[in-house]
Amino acid sequence: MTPQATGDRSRRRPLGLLASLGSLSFGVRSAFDTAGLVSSIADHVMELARADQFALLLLNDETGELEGDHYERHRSSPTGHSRIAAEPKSFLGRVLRRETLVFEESGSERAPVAWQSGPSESLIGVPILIGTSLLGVSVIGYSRRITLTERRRRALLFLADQIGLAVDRIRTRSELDATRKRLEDSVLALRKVDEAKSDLISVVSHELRTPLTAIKAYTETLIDNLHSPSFTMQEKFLVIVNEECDRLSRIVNDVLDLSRMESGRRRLKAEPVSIARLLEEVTGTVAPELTHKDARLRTDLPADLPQVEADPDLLKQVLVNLIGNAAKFTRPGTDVVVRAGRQGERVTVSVEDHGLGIPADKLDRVFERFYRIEESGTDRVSGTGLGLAIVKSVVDLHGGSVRVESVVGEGSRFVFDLPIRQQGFRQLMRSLTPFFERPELKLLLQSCVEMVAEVMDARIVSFMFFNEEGTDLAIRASHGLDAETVVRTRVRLGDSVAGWVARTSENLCVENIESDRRFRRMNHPQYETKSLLCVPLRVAGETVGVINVNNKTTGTLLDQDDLSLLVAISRRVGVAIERVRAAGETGDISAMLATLRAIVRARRTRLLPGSRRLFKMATDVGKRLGMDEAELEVLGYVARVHDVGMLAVGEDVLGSGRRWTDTEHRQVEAHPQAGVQILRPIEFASKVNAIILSHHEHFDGRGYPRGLQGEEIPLGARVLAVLDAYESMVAGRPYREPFTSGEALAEIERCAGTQFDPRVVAEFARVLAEGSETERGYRDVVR
Amino acid sequence: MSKGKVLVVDDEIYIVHILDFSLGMEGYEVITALDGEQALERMKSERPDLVVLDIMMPKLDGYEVCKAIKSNPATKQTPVILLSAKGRNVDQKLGFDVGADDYITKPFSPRKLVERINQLLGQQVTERPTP
Repeated sequence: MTPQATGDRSRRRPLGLLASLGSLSFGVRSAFDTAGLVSSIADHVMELARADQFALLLLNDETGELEGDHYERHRSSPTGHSRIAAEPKSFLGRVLRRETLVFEESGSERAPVAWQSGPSESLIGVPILIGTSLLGVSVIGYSRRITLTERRRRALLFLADQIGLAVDRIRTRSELDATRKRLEDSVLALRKVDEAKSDLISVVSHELRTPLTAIKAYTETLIDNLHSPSFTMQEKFLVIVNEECDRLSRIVNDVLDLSRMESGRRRLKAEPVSIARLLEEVTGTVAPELTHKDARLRTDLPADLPQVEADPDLLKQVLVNLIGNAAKFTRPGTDVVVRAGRQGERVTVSVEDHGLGIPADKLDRVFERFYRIEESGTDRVSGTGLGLAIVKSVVDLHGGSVRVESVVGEGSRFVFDLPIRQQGFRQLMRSLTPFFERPELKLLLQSCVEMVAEVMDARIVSFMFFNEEGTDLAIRASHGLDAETVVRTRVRLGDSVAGWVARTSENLCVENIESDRRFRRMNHPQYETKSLLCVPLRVAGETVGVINVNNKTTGTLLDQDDLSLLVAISRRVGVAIERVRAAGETGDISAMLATLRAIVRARRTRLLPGSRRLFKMATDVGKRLGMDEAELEVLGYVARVHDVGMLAVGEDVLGSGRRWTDTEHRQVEAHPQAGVQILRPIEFASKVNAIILSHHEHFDGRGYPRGLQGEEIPLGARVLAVLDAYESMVAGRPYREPFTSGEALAEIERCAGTQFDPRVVAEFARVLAEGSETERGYRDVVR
Repeated sequence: MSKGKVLVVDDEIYIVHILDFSLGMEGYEVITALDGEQALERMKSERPDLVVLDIMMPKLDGYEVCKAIKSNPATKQTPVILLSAKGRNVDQKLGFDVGADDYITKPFSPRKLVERINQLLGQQVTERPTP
C-alpha cells in the first residue's frame, strides 16, 4: 500500500463514517423489536467503525449486571451472550463509573467479552446514556491495533447517543405495553364489578318489590272497601301495610350499608371495644325477639377478655344480627348462648341457638345476600335476607373471619374472630403487597435499598417488612446479602434486633453485637463488623418494618451520626413508599426512580463530596453551633446529597480539565435548583430544600441563586458552604492543584465575613484542629 | 254458590291472605299453597278452576309448577296466571313458553287481577256494592 493510498483512506473513512450515520439513525428508528434492533445496530457499528466485534450490554436495574449478545464481523447471527457483574476496576466497570468512552490497547486488560474470533487487539467501551440515566455499555473490538482519533471518538459517542435513543424508545414502548396491559386488566376487573352490581340491583329490586306488592295490594283493597259497611279489616290491613313499610326501609338501609362496606367507602373508625359492654347494649335491642320465643340470652365471657380494636357501631350490628337470628330460630324456651375467648392475637365470639339447624349443603350459602334456607313459613317475613351478608362484610372489613357449624335438629353456632390489633394496620400491610409482587414496585423498593447503601456507604442493607398479622418480619429487599439468607430470614416480633426495633419503633445503634447486653449473640460471619444500625420504617404513621444497615465500606464502626443519617433516609424511603401507595395503580413511579438512581449515580461517580469527612465535620460543626437533633439529622442528610444537582451539569463539563465557559458556569450555578428538582419526589421537608437551595449564597449577599444575606441564609446552608468550599479546595479541580488542609483553611478564614459566616468559620477551624485525633480514633476501631 | 275454585300459590303469606280476601269477596272459593310442591298436591286433591302462581318460590318454582300443570292432560285446560316480581321481557316470555295464560308483575292491583280471573273463567263482572 502506498503512502498516498493510506492517506486517502484515512481521509475518506471518517467522512464516510459520519455521512453514513444518518442511515444508522434511520435503521434504528424503524426497528421495532429489540433483537432486530441490536443486530442492525451491530452491523452498522462494525461497518461504520471498521470494527470486528461488537456487543451491546444493557444494565439490569435489579441485579446491576450487564447483559447482552455478541456480534462479530461476517456472521449473520449473534456469536455469544454475556452476563457480567462489572468489577469497579475492570474495563466495563471503568466505563460505567466514568460514564465516558474508554479506549484500551491489548494486553493491558483482560477481555471483558469472550469473542469467537479471539481477543481484541484494541477495545473501545462507550456508555449508553439517556439524559442522566445510564442504560448500558457498547463494546467495540478490533482484531488489529487502531488509534483512537478525535474524529472516531466523536463519531462513536454520536453512535452511542443514537443507540441510547433507540434502546430508550424500545423500553418506553414495552413500558407502555405493560401499562396498557395493566389498564386492560383493570377495565376487565371493573367490568366484573359492574356486572356484580347489575346482578345486585336485579336481586335488590326483586326484594324491594315483595313488601311493595303487599303494601300496594292491601292499600288498594282498603280504598276499594273504604265505604263498605261489611268491611271490618281496616285495622288488620293497616297494621300489615305499616309492617311492610318498616321492612322496606330495613332492606333499603341494609343494602346501603352493605354496598358502602363492599365498595370500601366505609372507613373503619376503630377504637378499643369491650365485647362485654357491647353485649349489654345489644341485649336491649334483641329483648323483644327473645321474649317472643320465651328464650333466654346466656353469656359466657372470661373476665380477662381483652378489648378489640373495632368499629363499635359495626360490631354491635354484627351481634344484633347474629343474636337476633338465633332468637328467631331457636326453639321456644331454649337458651341463646354467647361465648367469647382469646386465641393468640385474636378474639373469638360464638352465638349458639337450639333451633332446627341448617342442612350441611346449605351451610356455605347462608352468608350470601338474600339467601334464605328454603322453608315456607311465616317467620321469614321480618328478615331482609341481608343480615348474615352484613355480618360477613363487617367481619371481613376488620380482618376477621366468620363461619357456621350446625347439626340438623339440634341447632346452629355462628363463630367469628377478630384481630385484637386493628388501627388499619392489616389494611396498610395489605396495601403494601404490590411492592413485593409487582415488578416495577419491586424495582422501586430495590432502588431505595441501593440508595440507602450508597448514601450510608454500607455493604449490607436490608428492608424487612411485617406480615399482615404484624407478628413476623421478612426481608423484602436487600443489598449485599446472599439469596438464601434473604429467603430464610424470619424474625418474630420482639425477637433479636429487628424484632425489638419493630416492636418499640425506636432507632437502634449497636456498637458491638457480641457484647451488647440487650441482644448478646455471636456475630454472623457475613457481617464483617460487629456494629449495626436498625431503624423502624414508617409508612402513613405506622411502623411497617425496619431498615438494617451493616458493614461500612470503610470498615469503620457505625455510630450515632450514622444513625441520625439513616433516620433521615428512612423517613424519605417511607415517604416514597407512601406516595406511590397513595397514587395507586395508575401512579407514575418514573420520577421517583429517577431520583433514587440520581442519588446513587451521583454518589458512585463521586460528584457528591463523598468523603465521610464532610458529613462528619458538618455534623460536628452543627453540634458546636448548638443545632438540635432534628436540625442535625437534616444537615447530615443534606451533606450527603446536596450536590446531586451537579448531575445536570454533567461530568464532561466538571471533568473537562479546563476553565468553564460562561454558559457552563451558569449551568454550574444553577445546580442547587436542579438538585432540589431531582430530590423533590422523595422530599417532604422544606428545610432540606432551603439548605440545598442556599448553600452557594454568600454571607455578604453576593452569592447565588437568590442573593440572600447573613442570617437570611439558613444556618445549615452556611455550614455547608464552608465545608463544600473546603472539600473542593482539598480535592482540587482538574485545572488546579489541590490545596493542603492548612492552605484551604487559610483561604476560608480570609473569606469569613464576605463569603462565609464568621461564626461557622470559627467553629469549623476548631473541628478541623481536633479532626486529626478523631481520624486516628476511627483507624483504631477498624475491625 | 261459588263462582269457581281458585288456587293461590305464593310463599309470601300476606299476599296469600290478601288474594284470599279479594277473591273471597268476589265469590270465589280460595284454596292456598305456600310452595311449589304444595301447589301440585292441591292441584291433584282440589281440582281448581284456575291457578294464580308466584314464580320465585322455594322447592319448586312457578315455571316448573306451570309446566307440570300444562303437561298433565287432566289439568292442561286449567288457566294459569303467573304473578311475579320479575318484570323483564325474558321472564315474561319464559312464562308464556311454559304455557301460562297470563303474566302479571308485582306490585299488582288486586282489582285488576280479579278482573282477569273473571275474564278467563268467562264470568260476568259482578257489581261492586256501592254505599
